[in-house]
Amino acid sequence: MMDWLATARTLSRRRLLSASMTMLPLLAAASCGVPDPLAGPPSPSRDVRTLRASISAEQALVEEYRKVLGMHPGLSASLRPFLTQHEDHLAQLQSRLIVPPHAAASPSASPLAPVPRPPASASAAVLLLGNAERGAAAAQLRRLASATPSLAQLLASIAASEATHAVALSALKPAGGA
Amino acid sequence: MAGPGPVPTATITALQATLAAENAAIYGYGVAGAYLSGGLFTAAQRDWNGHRAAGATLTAMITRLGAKPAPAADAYRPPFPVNSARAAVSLAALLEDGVLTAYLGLVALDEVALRTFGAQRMQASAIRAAFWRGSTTAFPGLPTSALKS
Repeated sequence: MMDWLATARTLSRRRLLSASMTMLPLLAAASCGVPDPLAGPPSPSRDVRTLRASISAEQALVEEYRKVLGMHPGLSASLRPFLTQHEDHLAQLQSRLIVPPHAAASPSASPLAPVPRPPASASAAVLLLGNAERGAAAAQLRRLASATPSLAQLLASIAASEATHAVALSALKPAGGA
Repeated sequence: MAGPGPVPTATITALQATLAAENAAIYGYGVAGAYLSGGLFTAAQRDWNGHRAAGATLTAMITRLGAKPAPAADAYRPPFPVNSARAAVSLAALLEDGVLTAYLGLVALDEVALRTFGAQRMQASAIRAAFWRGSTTAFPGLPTSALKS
């Protein structure tokens, strides 16, 4: 039983990871795609890489919520508070990224990384978001080691917020499944 | 966790502060429980037990690091009069806020294991706080002064 649960969690984490992986080429394109006659930027510190990974993960979550809400507007009252909190997470993370703005261009605006359509059933979509929240919280914890104390505290707080979202989503019983 | 070298003072201080927050929560849930009934009483009892277990864990950690766990106070004064179920629920949410901030202190330490431990305990506490408050927040445990506007 425990093994099954552990496997399920790993799977959902992988799914989230693969979602953020699809954004990596875009980040790379944003920072290196334009030919720059000057020397390239200094390689980002561990802390900045950690921050960028967190930003990508939050962007993926925000994107996922928006897609679900686009498909299931009836869930708006329930999901909107969580989406707003993720937008707050993203804003805080981005405010700590002290690099030239062009290097931190938002990859979510690009149509190049199609995210699969959310499930047609509202309850399945909520389940998917719950898994994404749990996966995101777990991923934040893995980033703690490579963060400065102050960033680690922000990541831990965001992870705690995501853990509360996952619990609230699992208690949600959306009306009108399909 | 206790490496070969001496344990940094910051580590012991942060663990003692966390134990103090847990002791305040244990006392506070006792007060809150007196004004709750039914499902809310059961929830208070569940959380009281959770904090007692966490207090025991911290006591063991501090002892293992060669320090003496600070004893709990005889009594803790709630920040507002608790004489109704409504006030009891507010107190429970406030107790979790105190615990959250204490564990946040562990997350700033150099030891990765303590960072992870602190972050995991923050999740448990944030879930309890959201239960008592009836809503979730974006930055559990973080003071607004830590956020950039």
